[in-house]
Amino acid sequence: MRFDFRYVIKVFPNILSYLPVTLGIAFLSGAIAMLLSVALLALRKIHCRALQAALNFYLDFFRGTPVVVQLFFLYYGLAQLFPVFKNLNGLTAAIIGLSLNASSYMSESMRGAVQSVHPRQVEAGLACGLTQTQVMWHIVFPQAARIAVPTLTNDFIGLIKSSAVAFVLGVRDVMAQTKMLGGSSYRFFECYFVAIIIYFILTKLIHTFQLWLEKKLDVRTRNGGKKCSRSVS
Amino acid sequence: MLQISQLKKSFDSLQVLNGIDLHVKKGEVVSVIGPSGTGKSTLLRCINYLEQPTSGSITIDGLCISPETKSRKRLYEIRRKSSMIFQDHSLFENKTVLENITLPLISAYGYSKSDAEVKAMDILQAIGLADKYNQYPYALSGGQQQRAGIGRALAIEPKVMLFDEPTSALDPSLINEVLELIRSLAEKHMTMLIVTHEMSFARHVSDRVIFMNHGIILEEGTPDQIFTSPRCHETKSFIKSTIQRVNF
Ligand SMILES: Nc1ncnc2c1ncn2[C@@H]1O[C@H](COP(=O)(O)OP(=O)(O)OP(=O)(O)O)[C@@H](O)[C@H]1O
Ligand SMILES: [Mg+2]
Repeated sequence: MRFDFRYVIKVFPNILSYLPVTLGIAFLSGAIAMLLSVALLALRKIHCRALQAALNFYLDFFRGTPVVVQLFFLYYGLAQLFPVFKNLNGLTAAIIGLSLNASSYMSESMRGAVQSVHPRQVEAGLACGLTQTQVMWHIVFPQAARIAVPTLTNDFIGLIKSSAVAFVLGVRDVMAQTKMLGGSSYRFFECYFVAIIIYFILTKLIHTFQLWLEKKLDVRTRNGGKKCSRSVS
Repeated sequence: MLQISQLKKSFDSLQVLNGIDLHVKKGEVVSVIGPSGTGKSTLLRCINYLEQPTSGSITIDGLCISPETKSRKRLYEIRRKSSMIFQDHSLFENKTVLENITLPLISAYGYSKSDAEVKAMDILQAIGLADKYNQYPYALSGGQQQRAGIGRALAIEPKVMLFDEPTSALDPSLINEVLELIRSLAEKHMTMLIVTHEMSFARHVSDRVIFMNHGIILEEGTPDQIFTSPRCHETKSFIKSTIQRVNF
C-alpha cells in the first residue's frame, strides 16, 4: 500500500472537526484539576493523620495505576456497585476520571513550587505586619506561579495525551474519529498520521505558550519596564 | 519601649532561651553579641512572634503578649509595632523596590496607594535609592538590597527596629554603606535592637551592649565597659576571639 497524500488532505478536516471535543475535555479537566489541586494543597495543611494518609493514598492511586484502567473502573466498575453511576455518560466519566488523575500530578507540581519559594520571603512578609493570607496572595503565590509554569504545562500536555484514551468510554474525540475512519477505509497509516500531526501541533502550541508565559512572569525580563503611577522626582 | 520578661524558648528538647529579661528604653540602641548558636536570632524572632516563645511575655509600646494571652489579632498588632531586618533574601523578589515598601503600607497599615508611594519615594530619597525605585531586587547589589530592606522597615514607623546580622551576608566592600545607614538612624534616636558580629560598629553605635551565652544574658553594660573590661571570663574570651584574626 502506498502513502496516499490526497487521502490525508481529504480526511484532515474531518478529523480536525473533532478537535473541539479533545480540547473541551482537556481544558475542562485541566481547569477542574487545577481547582482540585488547590483544594488538595489546602487539605495538606490540616494536621490530621487519617486525612494525610488518605491524601497520600489518593496521590499514589492516581499516579500509580494506568489512566485507562482508572477510567474503566470509574465507568464500568463503579456503576455496577453504585446505581447512581449508571446514568453517567462516557464524556462525563472521562472528564471526571481525567480531572482526578491530573489533579494528582498538578497538586504535586504546585506543592513543589510553593516549597521552593525562599522561606525568608514569608517571614519578611509577616514581620512587615502582613497577614498569612496576604503573604500567600501577594508574595508566595506569584513567585510559585512562575516556578510552577513548566511543570504544570507538562502535566497539562500529559492530560491532553491521556484524553486520547477517552474513546474507550465511547467519547467521539480526535482519537475516536481517527480510529473509526481508519477502520472503515483501511487507510490506518494516513488516518493516524493526521491524528499525530494534530496532537503534535497542539502540544507544540501549548509549549510555545509556556515559554511566553515563563518570560512574562519572570521579573528579570521586565525590569525597569514596569509602569508606575509616580516617576522619579 | 520594649520589655521582655522571663522569655523562654525551646525546640523540642533543645532549650534555646533560658529566661531572658531585657528592657530597652525609647531611643536606646542596644547591641546583642555572643557566640554562634546562643539564641540571638531566636530572641529577635520571638520578639515579633515569628517564633512563639515557650513562656514569658513581651511588651512593646504598652502592648503585652505572652503565649497565654496570644490571639491572632494581638499577634498582628504586636508585629506591627516592630520591624525586622534579616540577613538576606528579605526583599519580596516579585516586587519592585517601590512596591516592596508600599505593599505593607497599603495592605497592613491602611495607606492609599498614592500616599504610600509618596511616602516610599521620600524614604528612598533619604536612603539614596530613589533611582532604583522601579528595579526588582535581583538587580540590586547586596548592600542596596539591605538598605531597601531597612527603608521598608522604616516606612511602617516601627516603635522598635530589630536587626539580625544585617551585614553578615554582605561583601566587605558593601558593609559600610549599610552600617552608615543604621548609624544615621541611631543619631535620630530610633529604638533599635541589633544582633551583630561587627564589634567596632557595636561599640560605636550602641548605648548598651549585651553579651548572650547559652540562652541567657550573661553580661551587659556600656560598650566601653563590655569591650575594655568585661567582668565574665566568657565575654572576655569571646571578644578576644573576634579581635584576633588568623593570618594565613
Ligand atoms: N526552627 C528551629 N528548630 C530547631 N532548632 C532551632 C530552630 N531555630 C534555631 N534552632 C536552634 O537554636 C539554637 C540557637 O539558634 P539561633 O539561630 O538563635 O543562634 P544565633 O545566636 O542567632 O547564632 P548565629 O550567630 O550563628 O546566627 C541553635 O542551636 C539552633 O540549632
Ligand atoms: Mg543568628
